[in-house]
Amino acid sequence: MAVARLVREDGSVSIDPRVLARARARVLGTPSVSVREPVPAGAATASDGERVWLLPRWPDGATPALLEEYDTAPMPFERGGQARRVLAAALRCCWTRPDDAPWPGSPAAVADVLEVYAGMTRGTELARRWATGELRRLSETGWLLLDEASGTVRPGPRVALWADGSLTSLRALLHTLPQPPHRSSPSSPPPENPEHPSMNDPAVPRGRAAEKSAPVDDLPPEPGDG
Amino acid sequence: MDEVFEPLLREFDERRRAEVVAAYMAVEHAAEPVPEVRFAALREPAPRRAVEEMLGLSGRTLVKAGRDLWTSGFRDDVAAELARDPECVPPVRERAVLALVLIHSVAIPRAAGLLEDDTWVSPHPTPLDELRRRTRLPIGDLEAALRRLRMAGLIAQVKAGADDAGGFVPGPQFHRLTPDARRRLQEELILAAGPESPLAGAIRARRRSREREQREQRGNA
Repeated sequence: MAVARLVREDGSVSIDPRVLARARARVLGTPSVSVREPVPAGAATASDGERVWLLPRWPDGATPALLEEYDTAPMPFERGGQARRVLAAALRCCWTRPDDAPWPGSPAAVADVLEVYAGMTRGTELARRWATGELRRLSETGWLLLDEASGTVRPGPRVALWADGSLTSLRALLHTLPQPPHRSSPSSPPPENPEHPSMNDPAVPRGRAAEKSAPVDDLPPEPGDG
Repeated sequence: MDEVFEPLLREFDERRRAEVVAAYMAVEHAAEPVPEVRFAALREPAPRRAVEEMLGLSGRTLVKAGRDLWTSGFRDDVAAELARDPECVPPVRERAVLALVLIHSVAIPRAAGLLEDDTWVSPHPTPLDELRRRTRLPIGDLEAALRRLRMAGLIAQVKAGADDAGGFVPGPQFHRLTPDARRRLQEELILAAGPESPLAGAIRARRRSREREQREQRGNA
């Protein structure tokens, strides 16, 4: 920005590198590094074994959903209803072991996600194109990881911020969505003791899990929808 | 997980602690500045200092955004450092589109006396047609830039009303500029809009003398 050129003049101040690393992570959203590289001390992270994503860290287990209690609007996410439906369709395909946490999940074909989405919305060809745009947007914001070259998508690191307690309703909801093609039903898996090693930050950003407890097709339209 | 926040929160009892956390989350994540009447920790000096120190852990600071209204933003020194990191700076096309929105929605209305001096928030939309004509960007590139700027909260879309065609205004992130950042942005706009103007000359002179001072300080150190 224009500001950048100006500010260069007062470069004599030194900043705690940990502070700068946290500031940088905030600017970049959910940046990732190789697991072999060091992560800033005290950072919340989600790893898929190859890369480590830096996640926001909040005090006392608070999440941005806290704003609802204070009648305070969070940063708007345009066409939030549509984005949530596409995220739900992607999770339906990528969260193949519902007893585990959704992160890191497994990759699914974008075509399968669009198929599930079409089944949810009686979608037209146009709806599919919109959904492709949403996949990109969800990928840019860390909710999904989209690999356009291979035509696959998997859960994004922000999903690792969802608290255990919020997953039950999400599991139930996803179960009601159309099944992905080429895959048998994941219903009634054997009971086991679920462990969520990457859920190191019990947080549900912006109350999305709560929103998902309603049937996705019945979500109220958001101000930015359309 | 709270080892970073704990030393700052330890001194408060449970109720106060919850108020400090709520205020911290509110200034960091609310779309608009929040009123101190709703967040007790913003009303009193000690808890407000704690909020400020919590923000400082990630290079941020409290920003007063009007009477009894607060938000947060990057500290000036941290913003300067981040601006040197190419990964943290938006690409040139997005900056160009944003600059045009600032010129049309803020600089021109301000010059006409329609907007007060120290604000970057404006009700005057920049029409899409104007952006298309002035940027001369292919429509796909312009739309991609607008999409990313909207997503970052740097611009907001205004739907067409009874007597205007709608368009784009500076987004909620502009509440988060510190007083110094607002001044620098103002100076940059003057330099861009009227490089030969006496005001621009004065800004350049002031900057040169500040640079000289800093060089001397570093020389003495």
